[in-house]
Amino acid sequence: MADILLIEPDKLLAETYFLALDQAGHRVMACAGAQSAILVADRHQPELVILELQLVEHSGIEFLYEFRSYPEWQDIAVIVNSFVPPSEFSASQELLRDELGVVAYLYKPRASLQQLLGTVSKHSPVKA
Amino acid sequence: MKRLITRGIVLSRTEYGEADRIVTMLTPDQGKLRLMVRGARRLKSKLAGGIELFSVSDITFMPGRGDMGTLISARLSRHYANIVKDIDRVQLGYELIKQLDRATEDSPESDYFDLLGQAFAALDDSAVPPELIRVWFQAGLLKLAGHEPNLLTDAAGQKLAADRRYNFDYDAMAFMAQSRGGFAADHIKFLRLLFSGHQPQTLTQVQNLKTLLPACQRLVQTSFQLHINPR
Amino acid sequence: MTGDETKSTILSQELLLSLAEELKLPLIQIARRAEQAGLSSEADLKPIQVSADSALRLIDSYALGVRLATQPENFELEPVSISSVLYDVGQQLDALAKSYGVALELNVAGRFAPVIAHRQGLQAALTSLGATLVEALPAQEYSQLSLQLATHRSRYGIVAGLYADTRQLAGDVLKRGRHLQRRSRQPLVTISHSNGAGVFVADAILKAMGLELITSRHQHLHGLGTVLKSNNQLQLV
Repeated sequence: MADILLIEPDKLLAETYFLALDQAGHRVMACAGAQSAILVADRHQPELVILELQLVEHSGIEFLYEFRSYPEWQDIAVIVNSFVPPSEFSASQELLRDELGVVAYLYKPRASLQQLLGTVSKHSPVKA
Repeated sequence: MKRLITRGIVLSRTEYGEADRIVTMLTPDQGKLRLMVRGARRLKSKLAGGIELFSVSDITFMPGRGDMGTLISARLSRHYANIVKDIDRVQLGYELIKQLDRATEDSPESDYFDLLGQAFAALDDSAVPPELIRVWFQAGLLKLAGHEPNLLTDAAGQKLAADRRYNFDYDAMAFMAQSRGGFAADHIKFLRLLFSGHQPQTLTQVQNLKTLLPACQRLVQTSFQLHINPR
Repeated sequence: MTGDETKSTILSQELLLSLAEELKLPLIQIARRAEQAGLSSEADLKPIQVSADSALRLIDSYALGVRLATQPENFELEPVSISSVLYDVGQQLDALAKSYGVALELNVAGRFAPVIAHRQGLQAALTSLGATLVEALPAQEYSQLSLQLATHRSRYGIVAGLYADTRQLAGDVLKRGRHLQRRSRQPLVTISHSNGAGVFVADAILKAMGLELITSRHQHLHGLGTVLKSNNQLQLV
């Protein structure tokens, strides 16, 4: 079970994702935006990040570049769970994957909670 | 100690140690510079703090013994603040930076600096569609690397005709006449504009841009992948 | 604005697309909450109701805007008390605001003469605006979670609007948003993580009624609202 940083700007959706992840045994730290996410990550060292790209003021992309500029955070898996259709990033999938360490891209209108939980399980670090 | 002054565009930032940051900057006259920025890393309290991405800065630095210098001062000269407000533009901005970084060695000519600066200016302008900026930038990189397609004569050496259709030969980097080819006179005219050095803002005035762009995008992108960004 | 221009705003493809995109949010909220309820045998359906009502209000407001623009002859103007409109807006937004943890405050001190307006349209526009701001405030890091429904006098008339303690609602945010509506996924990115359809629906409804959505200040707060002309003749009645 993982320590997860959930970055989700909509409060109602954040509550639903929080409940599902919590019930699945994960420890969840929820943030609404990019700046607070950086501060929370600094304090609590997440093992996995779930990220909406459409945030207020600073986008999820900006967050990712800032996040990855810190050596201690370069290996933390990031799952994008976003309203932005993946086809809109088709030219940059390589960039997302190779440069920004995005291990999975979920499109919110089509991704069920079960799918999110399954993806989280797949990419959670294995603990002794 | 020798101090040099130039302008720079940040290509990458990495946090280093407890308090420092390493930035790689593209300059018009010193090529790519790797610079240590001492004490830049305070609390992780500010996104893109200090040396801003999508900016041109006036910098003073000390060259080092190896490949790493030390940044003495940086002053923002031009900050393209609108780019980060749009998720598609910021993603494209990062992509273009990466493409240029990969396409160049340590001492790229000043043309690369100008190309990136113009790309930022276009990204900053909401009237210029991102897909146009992408294809324009890739065309610019192809041209600077000497891989510009032949837009005057076909693969057989015949002048390109206004009433013929063509397909594109990526080995010859030239058009081949074909009755049902995907390229017509308007496509070729647009490609000439694309490779001529006109800024993307000017290209938005092209008639039927939306119709012409997809085929031209494919040509430029495929050429780019073959010649600049081999896997 | 000519009738054609009014119609073109509410019927524009941009607004329709914006509406379609915006409706994904409440529908995803409902779908995921229902799924979560299934996973946990949880019985609380209130959040689902809140999301469904929010979606219905937005669609309804948009439809009203279309009818106002295309069949203006069917809509009668009447004397309207702005205070009572704001009160009703507050009632409509109450459940949504509670879900988002946003406090709603009604500030209609002072006596204002009635205005001649289409009450339903005015209420729909302000409710649509309010819903977007309620959803957006918690996503704006470091904003106070409080929305004031207020009215005050200005030299142009009576201003009715929604205000918050956030500078994000100041300046040219509306002008930029209108300009970027066709060009950006998030035309109001400094305010909202969504495409802000509720604001643009309010904008279009107000335009259809010959009114304008503006940025405005109320005491130390910033917000969005509209200016209405009071009718002095009604005051004499």
